[in-house]
Amino acid sequence: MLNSKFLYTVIASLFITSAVFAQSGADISPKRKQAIDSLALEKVRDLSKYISIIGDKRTPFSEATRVMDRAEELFAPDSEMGVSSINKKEVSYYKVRKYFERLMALNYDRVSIEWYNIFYISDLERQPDGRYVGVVTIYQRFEGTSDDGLKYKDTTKKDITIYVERKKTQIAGRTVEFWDVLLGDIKVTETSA
Amino acid sequence: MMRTIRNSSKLSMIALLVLLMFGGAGCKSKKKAMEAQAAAEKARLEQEAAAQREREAELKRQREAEEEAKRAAEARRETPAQKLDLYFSAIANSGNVNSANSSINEALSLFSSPDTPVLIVIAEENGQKDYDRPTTIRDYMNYLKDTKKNMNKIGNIKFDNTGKITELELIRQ
Amino acid sequence: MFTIRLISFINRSFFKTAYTVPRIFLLPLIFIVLTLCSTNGYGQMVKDGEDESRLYAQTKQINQFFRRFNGEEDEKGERYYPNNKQYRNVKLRKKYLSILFDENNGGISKDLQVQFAKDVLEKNLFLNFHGGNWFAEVHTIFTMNGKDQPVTLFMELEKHHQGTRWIISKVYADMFEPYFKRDTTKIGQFLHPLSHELAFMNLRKAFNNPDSANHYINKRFRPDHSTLFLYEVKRGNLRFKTVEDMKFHFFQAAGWYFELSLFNRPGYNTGWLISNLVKINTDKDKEILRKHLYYEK
Repeated sequence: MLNSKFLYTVIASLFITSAVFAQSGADISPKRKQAIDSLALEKVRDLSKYISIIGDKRTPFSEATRVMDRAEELFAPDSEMGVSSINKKEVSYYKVRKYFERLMALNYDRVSIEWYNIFYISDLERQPDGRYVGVVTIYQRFEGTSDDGLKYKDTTKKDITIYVERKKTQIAGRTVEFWDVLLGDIKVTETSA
Repeated sequence: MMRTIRNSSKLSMIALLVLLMFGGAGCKSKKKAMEAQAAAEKARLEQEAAAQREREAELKRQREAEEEAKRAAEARRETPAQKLDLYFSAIANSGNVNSANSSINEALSLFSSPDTPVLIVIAEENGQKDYDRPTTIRDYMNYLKDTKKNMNKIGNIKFDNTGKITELELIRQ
Repeated sequence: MFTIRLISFINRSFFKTAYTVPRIFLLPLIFIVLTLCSTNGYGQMVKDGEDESRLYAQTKQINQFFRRFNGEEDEKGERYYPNNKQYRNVKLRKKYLSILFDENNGGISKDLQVQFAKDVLEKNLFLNFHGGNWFAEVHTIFTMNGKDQPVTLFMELEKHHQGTRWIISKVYADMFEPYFKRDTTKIGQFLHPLSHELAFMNLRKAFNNPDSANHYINKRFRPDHSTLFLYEVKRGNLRFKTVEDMKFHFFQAAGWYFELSLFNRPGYNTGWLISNLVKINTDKDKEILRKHLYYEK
């Protein structure tokens, strides 16, 4: 009984985190920057994986919903996708969840989502509130096929905002500092590659 | 331990003194009585010494048992790390959702709760560890299932007194 | 032509073989290199060497333009830090400077490009994100009382609290222009020089016709679209719709102005590229150019 009470405290404290910022003006060392870069890239890859699962027609509805929840957890609140195509420069805006739902509901019998192995990571810049922000660029190839043989193909460039923040949390009575990496707005541009 | 040794040597000193004192008394009329008394005293002292030895042996046995339990526990604790490794790779490489889910449920039995905290070390510089956002074991294993990426090495494991894992540290490779 | 140049650029750096190796042998080589360089992050990977090498060649972010211009990353986009031998290496910069121009733009002569690259390398000119003297021109669409209206926002980086932010430094909108049109070459309407003796009672006549109101404003008056823009947005008349495109103007390389635009097209010469280049000889030249860019006639 006592044990589970203790555990609840631990778990609760996991989610009551307080932000701590690196010393004002102090930059992130190259080595640390590299570790954060690969952490950010991992989150982006996780998102790619989740998008592939959500888009896959063989994924059962319940699994797709669970994966959508997990994918949503990668994002900072209020994140949006801004989508533009070659023919239409105008940006269409979708909330992240809406974008996933649209992806799941696409009317193709077979969908293939593939990712290019290429990525680009920007510098991390400090924003007024002290958090760091960067952009990771990746490329995705989409192919949807209907049973009647109709095919739709595109390659999109995805510029993904990443927010990096140093946070503190209590675990089993001790303070653990960690890097919180959250994804933000994503610009999706159709490319002619 | 030290106190026991000191006590026992004090006791034998007293016994020796008593024997010398009685041995030094030269009164013959009282000799028999004295002898009987000395024998009784000797028996009592011997009894006490035996009890003392018994107590010492008991303490030693206890210490040994504790040490053995500790070793056994440690041995048991090595197994969970290996077990975890196997479970994690089974979940990440599982061909279907159902088998991944059953591996997750099996692995959960090693933990004190599905919400057991999992800390992932992303880098270590000058002894200072950089962590990813802490997660829970259930979420982590679902993550393995979804992403099929098992890229972390098992680090420190903490246990409760029933041998269940209460905290897991993983190291990104 | 350009493709061959870029490939040989990659080729020289990766394999250190002859500059003249025919393209047909290089593509498979690049493909092999790219495949070897791949990590196992994704579930399904596109295995298309040529497509991928095109994406490597693309200047994918403005950030990448900065790093390529300065020679701060390798061909795959891996960053060089100051302790690396290749960091800001002159040879590396020379290679990058040759691929950062829009090749389809006849307006930038080869001579000018070469002169620019030479100047940049000789004078050790580097671009600095926080160095000022560069700004964005963002073409947006707002709706004014339900009707689409293009609005150009000029944006700059500004230091604020613990970091930096983009702010709107100037606004230009065609829809505001007609209200300020006037022909100062004509005599037009005026308030005579003794109006003050009559306590400016003639103002009533002057403002009878709103169209001629600007005849009464001083010659040097420059309308400020930012004020109108903010006013209309705050009144709820002007609503943001979308961003159409954007470009960047750089005055950071001393003696030069260049424009950076996005090229989303097939081939290897894509992404953020220099779309305009002007040699600036005097401060007056610079001022004229600035005014032109800001639509200040």
